[in-house]
Amino acid sequence: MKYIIHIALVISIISCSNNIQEKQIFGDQNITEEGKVSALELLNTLASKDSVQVKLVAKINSICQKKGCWMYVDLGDTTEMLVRFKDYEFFVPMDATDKIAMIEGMAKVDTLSVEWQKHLKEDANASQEEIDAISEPKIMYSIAEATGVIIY
Amino acid sequence: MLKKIFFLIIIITIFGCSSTTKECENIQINPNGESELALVMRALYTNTLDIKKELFTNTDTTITNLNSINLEEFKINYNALHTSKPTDLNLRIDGKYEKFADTYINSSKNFINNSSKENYNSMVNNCIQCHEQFCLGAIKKIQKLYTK
Repeated sequence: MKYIIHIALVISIISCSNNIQEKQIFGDQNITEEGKVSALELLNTLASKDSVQVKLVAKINSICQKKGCWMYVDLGDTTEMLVRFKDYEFFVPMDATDKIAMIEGMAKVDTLSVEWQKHLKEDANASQEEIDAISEPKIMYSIAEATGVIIY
Repeated sequence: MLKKIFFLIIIITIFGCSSTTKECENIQINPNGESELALVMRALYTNTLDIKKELFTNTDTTITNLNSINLEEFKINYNALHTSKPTDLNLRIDGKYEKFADTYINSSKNFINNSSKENYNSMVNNCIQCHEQFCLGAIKKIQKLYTK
């Protein structure tokens, strides 16, 4: 019986520690998950609208490696969205790449200037060759002023 | 007795694990840690916003009798632009940043000597010009400091 109790204790500790999913909130601490949408749903909406207020759930592809002040999230089919944070008031952990995030803000199709593209490459520790190769503004999806982010 | 302990463990396991999501609030601005220079710049932003709110909304207020800010604190903060440790340790290597910092500090001194709207906006403008070279992300926020 003693052995069974020891086994039960070990199972109990392991299963509990594996089961806890940490959810971190950045920016607006009152952010809720109500009404969250997938990347596909967002793309469908933006096919007929210029912009839309969303709570987008997507995987984080990359993050600013200087201070966590922007991130690219995956919209599927090699499409990405650039996310920046309202008024520089909050950033995200630099080691959160590949995690799932929910981002609240106004999503739209944006034009990213050459200066901004170079700045993002510098922040991502890209090579000088890559930075110098940028010469044209880029049209891309963005949330330029996210008000809150949840990272799962 | 042992049976009771066994069942107790089972019950604790079931109820203890039923709550699977742990929420963590991150009140701090940067979970990666802010550099000294970033903190100085945030302090300068707050100083400048306080000056703007008080100086340009109350006609009785002058730069020397502000209630919301101690001018000495503002001076210490702008002088710290030359000494604080930056996020990017390569920032000071070529001397370019120091020149922009000097231009901004001189315009701040100029504003303290003559607190006109023109000199105030020139100080904000010099802050933005430096950010255009080194850190684009904060520009939208700094633009809110301009006064009409």
